[in-house]
Order: sequence, then structure tokens, then C-alpha cells
Amino acid sequence: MQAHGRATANHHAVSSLTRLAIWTFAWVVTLALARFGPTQLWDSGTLIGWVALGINVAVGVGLVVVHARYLQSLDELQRKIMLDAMAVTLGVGLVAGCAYGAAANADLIAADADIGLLFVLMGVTYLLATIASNRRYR
Amino acid sequence: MRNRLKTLRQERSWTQADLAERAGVSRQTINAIETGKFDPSLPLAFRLARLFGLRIDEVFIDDHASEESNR
Repeated sequence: MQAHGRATANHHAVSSLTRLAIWTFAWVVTLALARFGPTQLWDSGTLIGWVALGINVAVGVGLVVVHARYLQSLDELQRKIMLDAMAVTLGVGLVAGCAYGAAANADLIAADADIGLLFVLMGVTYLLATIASNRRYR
Repeated sequence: MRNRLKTLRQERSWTQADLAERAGVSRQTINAIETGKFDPSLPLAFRLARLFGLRIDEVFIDDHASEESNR
């Protein structure tokens, strides 16, 4: 009975995480399609570009919902770890994003500001903050 | 806040994983509570006390309350 309960809880946690991974992968693929499709696969400014963008936004909304459900499936410590990591990520993203934008406007950096770099920074920050927070409560 | 979770668990020969399963949380959470790194919410504290058949104040000890009663 107890082993069955543990197996069910583990299965639930794994399936939530698997679902999140699948939706994240799907969002990345549809984003790549919407971003590079007009230059690599079809002409820019066509209906198919709008369709690809619409699919990407729809999958993105699905990803947000799945992520919210994933957070709800965690226990209170795991949720705190995620919340701490998201707080750090938001702070770093806001400060770095504003500084980067200001630097671009003031012609302090050679190239125009690329928002993709900010997303990379936020992704890496989230990963590192999650690892650090997990270590704190190990 | 201190707690007697580890002692009570060991008295029953439960592993952290056993207690985690019974309480419906992760083993990491039980470990963090036992080592004093994380204070559980009130519902979880009640759930843990119920699992040991004890009152919540018999499992979790408020340091400030015990300091004040000693004055």
C-alpha cells in the first residue's frame, strides 16, 4: 500500500516534469520555425509566417499553463526553491536588461541590443539559482 | 523553531523516505525540516504531528516561547 502510494507520487512528479519538458521542447521548435522559417523555408510576409507565429504563441500559452500545473504539483519546499530561483532570475533580467538597453542607446556597445541575449542570461541565471537553492536545502 | 522529527522518526524505525511518503512531501523536505533549514507551513506541521499521534507543540518547539517562559 505504502509502496504503491510512493510509486503513484513519484509517477505523478515524473509525469508533470515530462509534460513540462515536452511542452518546452515543442515551444522551442515552434519558435525556431517562426523565427527562421521566413528566411530558410518560405518567403517572408506570407500567410504561413502568421500561421507559424500563431502556433508558437498557442504552444507558448500551453507551456505557461503546464508550468503553473507543474509548480502546483511540487511540495512547499520545492515550490520555495523555484520561487527563490525565479525571484533571482527576474531581478537579474530586469537589472541586466535595463543596463543593456541603456548601453545600446548610449552607443557604449558595438552592436544593437539583442533581446535573445537577455533570454539566454535569464535561462542560465534560473538554472544556476535553482542549483544553488537546491544545494542550500540539501 | 526546533523540532523532534528525527527522534520521533527513528523511534518508529522510519526512513526519511518513509516519512516523506506518509506526509506527502519529498525526502528533501523532510531532511530540510529535520536539519532546521526549513520551517514547514502550519498544515504540514499539523500533518506531521498527526502522523506521530502527537500534538503540534510536542513535535515543534518555538524557541522564542521557551525563552520567554524561562524569564
